[in-house]
Amino acid sequence: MSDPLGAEETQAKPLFMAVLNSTKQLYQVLKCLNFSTGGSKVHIQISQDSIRFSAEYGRTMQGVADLSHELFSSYELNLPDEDDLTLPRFQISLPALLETLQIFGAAEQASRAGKDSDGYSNVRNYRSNHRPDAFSNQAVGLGNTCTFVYLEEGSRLSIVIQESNITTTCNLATYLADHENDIPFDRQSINFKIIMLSPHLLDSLAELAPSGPSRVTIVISDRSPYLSLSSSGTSNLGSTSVDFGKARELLETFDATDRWVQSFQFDMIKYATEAMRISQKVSLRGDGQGVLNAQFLIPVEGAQGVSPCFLDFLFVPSIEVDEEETEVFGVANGD
Amino acid sequence: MTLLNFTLSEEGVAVFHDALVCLNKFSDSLCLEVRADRLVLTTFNSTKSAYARFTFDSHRFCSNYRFDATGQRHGRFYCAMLIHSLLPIFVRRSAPSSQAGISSESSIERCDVTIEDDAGRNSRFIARVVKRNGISATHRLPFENLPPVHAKFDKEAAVNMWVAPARNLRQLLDHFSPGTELLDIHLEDPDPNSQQDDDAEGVINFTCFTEKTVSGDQVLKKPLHTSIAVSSVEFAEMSMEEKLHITITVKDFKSIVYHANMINGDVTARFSTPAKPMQLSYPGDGFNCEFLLMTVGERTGDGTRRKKNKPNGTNSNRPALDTASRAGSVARSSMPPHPDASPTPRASEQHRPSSAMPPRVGTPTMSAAAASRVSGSVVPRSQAWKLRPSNIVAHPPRSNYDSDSLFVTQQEPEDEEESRWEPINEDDDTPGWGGSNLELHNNNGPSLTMNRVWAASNPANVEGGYTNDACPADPPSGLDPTQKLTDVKKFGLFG
Repeated sequence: MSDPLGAEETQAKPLFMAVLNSTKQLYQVLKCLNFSTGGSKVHIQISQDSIRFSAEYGRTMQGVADLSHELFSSYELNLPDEDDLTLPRFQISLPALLETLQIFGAAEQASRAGKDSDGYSNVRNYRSNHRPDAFSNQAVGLGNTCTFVYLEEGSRLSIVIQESNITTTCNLATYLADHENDIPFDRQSINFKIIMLSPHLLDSLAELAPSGPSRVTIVISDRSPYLSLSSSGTSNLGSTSVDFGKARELLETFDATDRWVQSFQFDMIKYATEAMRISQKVSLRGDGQGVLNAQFLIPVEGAQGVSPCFLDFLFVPSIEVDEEETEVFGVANGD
Repeated sequence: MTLLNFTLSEEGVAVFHDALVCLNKFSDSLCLEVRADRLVLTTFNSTKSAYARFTFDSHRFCSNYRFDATGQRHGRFYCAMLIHSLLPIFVRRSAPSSQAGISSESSIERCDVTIEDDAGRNSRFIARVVKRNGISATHRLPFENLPPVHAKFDKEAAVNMWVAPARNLRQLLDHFSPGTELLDIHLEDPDPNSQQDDDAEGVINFTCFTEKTVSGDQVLKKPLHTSIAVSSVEFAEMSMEEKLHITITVKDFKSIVYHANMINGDVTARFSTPAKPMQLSYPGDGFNCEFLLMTVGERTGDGTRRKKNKPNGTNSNRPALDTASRAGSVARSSMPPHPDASPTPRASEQHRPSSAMPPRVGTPTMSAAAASRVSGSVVPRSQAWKLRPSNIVAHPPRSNYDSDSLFVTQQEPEDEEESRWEPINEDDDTPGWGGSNLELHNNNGPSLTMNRVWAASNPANVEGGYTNDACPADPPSGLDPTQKLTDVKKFGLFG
């Protein structure tokens, strides 16, 4: 492994450099995107304000995490040409990145575990389990840092983890970015908008999951039940539907112009459950074409205090023909 | 058409869930029987050796119970469902959420259950779970119209019994070594010299053990015995015959005790003799749990009975069994079960589950016939043997047993005169538990089972021929023909 901060640093500033004091938050957020197919790569686009991670699943689902520069203790993007505003954009293997982020903090944990293996471990355990370690690197103020360096277009992404006297350098291969093909979401013709606490949504999916549905149908209506999720196309284990009857208590914001019925692959929705788990609130929106947008608000503790981080998911609906087929199938079974 | 409506409270859902978890340890599917006054959940395990029944008092356990019995035969409705499709519905929902403030809201307010049945169409079991936060989940499950199958238990014949608090039994389970399969329960006198002293408290021995399993040269399982002696003080009530070894499976016993401990009930066990079922039951609040387990075991005592708090309840004047005949028939062995296992000297370690054979009076031809039947029989049977204590295996039962069953019938010395080779007829007054597995109350009479076993084994025997010297030329006398001659003709043996 070569040291990316070596000789080249003196020559020119790297294209991008950012420093994190803890990777826990970043790891948590990126784990929500770990569903990609095709080599499990994520697109990374770096702008002056934020890093945008986007992952997709079979071109029918897309997850985007926009990490604000506030999360980082230092954030620097040096575009080579002031006039050329093409932002650096590349692909990276997400599992490899997640693996790397997990290294952070591992050294300290290991050394703590090593300390406890002596004869006095009971006494120490008592102390370390019940009180914060006064001599931990964080408490002492020793800079535990995780530095991201992207030297130039096409170079590797280097992640340097420095913890007390241990430095780990990981160079992750970067790949050429695909064409931008974000799922189109028509913000002009939004049919409904719901803001609710994410655990409610997670609970309702947990109700649907045991029957092993292949598809979930979302019905938005202007009267009770305002929001209804039902499983369809299931096996012989029956079907389930979850209704949100009391809108006032459950839904913070409810704004629907019309009845909106769309069905989605259940597996696709299931990939968003990790985001539901760690997020506080979720905003659901649907456009005229049936595309569902779920935006999760995740409070992230960054260098400048707690800042909200948004995870955006877009789901392409299953076409209606399939839905009819399912109904025919259901009737044939005496449904 | 709505057949049934009832509502469960949050607590009711939890109790229902515990019952389902317990039933699921026996089988994948259950049978729901609806009557005007009760809801009955029953299940049989796959080998038909264990039967579980939960009876819920419809008015104490449920609210708004409405059962429309019009058009139902005998005023009852029944259906069969998969347990694992029911389990997630009746699961506790108190703490699934990550955030503490929401967890209390997402608990269940009530659960409305409806059964709709329209002449085979739109038949659904509908459970609507309403949570306190206003979210309601409606589960629609299909079901199958299957009549329930019940096992019979003759309470009159079950003279032995004990009652123990479930938590005492639960403590026993901690001592059971993992991997043990069978549990032998017997009453032992703490001091053999004080037999005259009827006040002496007996000790009930719970011995869990595994038989040695050998496949070729490989030893698959090592024999393992753990014996736990429980003073009868621990039992609320007890009336047992001494040295009557009753053996059930550890797994079933565990499943029952775990559930009984959860509802903190007193477990009552009733049983008569080995190869007859044992009933374990305990009451809950608004419901009742009953389990029937098929048993094997030995009767080695002289029939002395011991009762707690009833010193004069013994009948020790019964004639002791002939020790000479017993010595001749002793067969103890930790060898893999085999009918030809040579008799080994009797040892009397206390940790053996059963140290002697019952004094069999069976004629040599009888046991030889049984032995040859085993050696010439189909493979699945030998699997059934391996689960049984070796000393019983050495003398295979002579009568009807189902090749699928874990348990086999054993004839008691007292029953010698019974026509044991005859298939049991339903109108016969043979006790209901004559079959090797739990007798089916419904349509599968034990006679069917018997005939099937014989029909399956007879051609094999005839075709393969007997290699055993002691093999009888004819089936044992007294056995009714189970096949027509015309059926056998195709084997070319009768011209």
